[in-house]
Amino acid sequence: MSTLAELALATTLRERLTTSFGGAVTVNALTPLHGGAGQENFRLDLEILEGPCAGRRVFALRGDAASPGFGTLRRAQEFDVIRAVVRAGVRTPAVEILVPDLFGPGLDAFLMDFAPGTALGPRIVRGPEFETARTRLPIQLAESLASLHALTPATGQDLGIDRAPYLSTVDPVAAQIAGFEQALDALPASRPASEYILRWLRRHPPVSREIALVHGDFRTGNFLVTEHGLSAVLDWECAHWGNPLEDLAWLTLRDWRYGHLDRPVGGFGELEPFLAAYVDLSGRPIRPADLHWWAVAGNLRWALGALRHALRNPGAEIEHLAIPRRAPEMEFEALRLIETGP
Amino acid sequence: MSEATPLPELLRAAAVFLAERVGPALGADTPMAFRVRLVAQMLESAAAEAEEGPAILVEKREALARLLGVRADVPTLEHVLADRLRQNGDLTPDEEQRLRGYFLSALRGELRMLAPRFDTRLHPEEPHT
Repeated sequence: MSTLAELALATTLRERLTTSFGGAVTVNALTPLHGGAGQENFRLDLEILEGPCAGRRVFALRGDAASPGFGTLRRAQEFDVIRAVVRAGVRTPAVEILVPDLFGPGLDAFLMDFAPGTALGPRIVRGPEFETARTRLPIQLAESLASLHALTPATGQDLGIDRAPYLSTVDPVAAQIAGFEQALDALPASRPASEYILRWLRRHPPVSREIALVHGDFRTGNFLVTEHGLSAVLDWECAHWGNPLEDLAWLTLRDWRYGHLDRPVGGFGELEPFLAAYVDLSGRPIRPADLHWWAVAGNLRWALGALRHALRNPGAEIEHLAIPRRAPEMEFEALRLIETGP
Repeated sequence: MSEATPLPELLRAAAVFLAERVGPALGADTPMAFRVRLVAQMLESAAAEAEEGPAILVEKREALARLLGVRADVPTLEHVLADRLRQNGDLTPDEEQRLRGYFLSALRGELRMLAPRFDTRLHPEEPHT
């Protein structure tokens, strides 16, 4: 613990968690975790001194940021989503305790089991220590996605995550297009290339309109990897009701390949075995034209998301100034996909 | 002023200093080293914009004027084009092809400046230009 704020947080945690764990608690270490720029993330080393949970425990502490990402879940909602996906068999760390107002009024936090591994994209796609992991990841990720997408509004999941434009009762394609229109209208200047991509999306709609729980940011960088393969899927803040192909296509976007353009699955895997495993496990056939639509849509979503960084607390973080300048990369890739076809 | 270091050269020197001197001193995998690399890239991009930006803007204005058949500044022309596209009217295959050609060319121009290492080929088997 290096700052006064961290020391104060440790003191508050000790008091709050003593009640939650039913016994005195010592905070041995509280270490900021970088990544997940939209949230407050820490590694929390605890010692529970008495009671039924006595012993040393390591958690990830994830708290609401004062300036949350646009349209993302609050921690209390994310807590419920993670509980549901863990029950469904997705490889993700279990959440243990929700701590209301830990970071201020309305700024909640939760404790989740600490999982090993790295989420750093360049290391995952290039590191020699991950050579075996890279061969296993496509199938492991397909397994997690198949388990996740088994959760549908029809299976009775009432997660309380409905938010415009993503509603459990709304066609996911219409929702996506409405979201793009809103995002474009919120920009300070016109983006004709994005408007053209949106026009193409409207005129070439996919056939599949299924609705399931989707991760919403399923990509290299948002899962932990060890030398053995997938350790844990992280960052559920973008989870929403949507079309399952959104997650599959998002994992293949050019920007998440970290320069390995010949490895469409996250920069480490071939497309065919990944899709075959997903189809086999989920029982959902995939139309190539539908997947292509979601890849074009994914690039537009990321282009508009990049531009929106300029609107979010401008000047606060250097990353937020750099990211909007990357929007033409995603616009170009969407146009390239339109030009070359499925 | 004529003897002062030109702006692109100044920005590139600052980028090299950050990337080659400051970054390594911070340790390869630290969050601050990541940010220093990011700032070095931002300065490189600013240098390219200072050098090529005005010419790219003129090129874009001329291409938009040809496409739309009206003359105005770039923000106005882009607004007109975006508005027409949002109205979702039909386009002939020829118009559609011209539009795509315009966007690909305009984005290649921007990327030459903003992300010089970004591969703007449509197919991997195409030769690099």
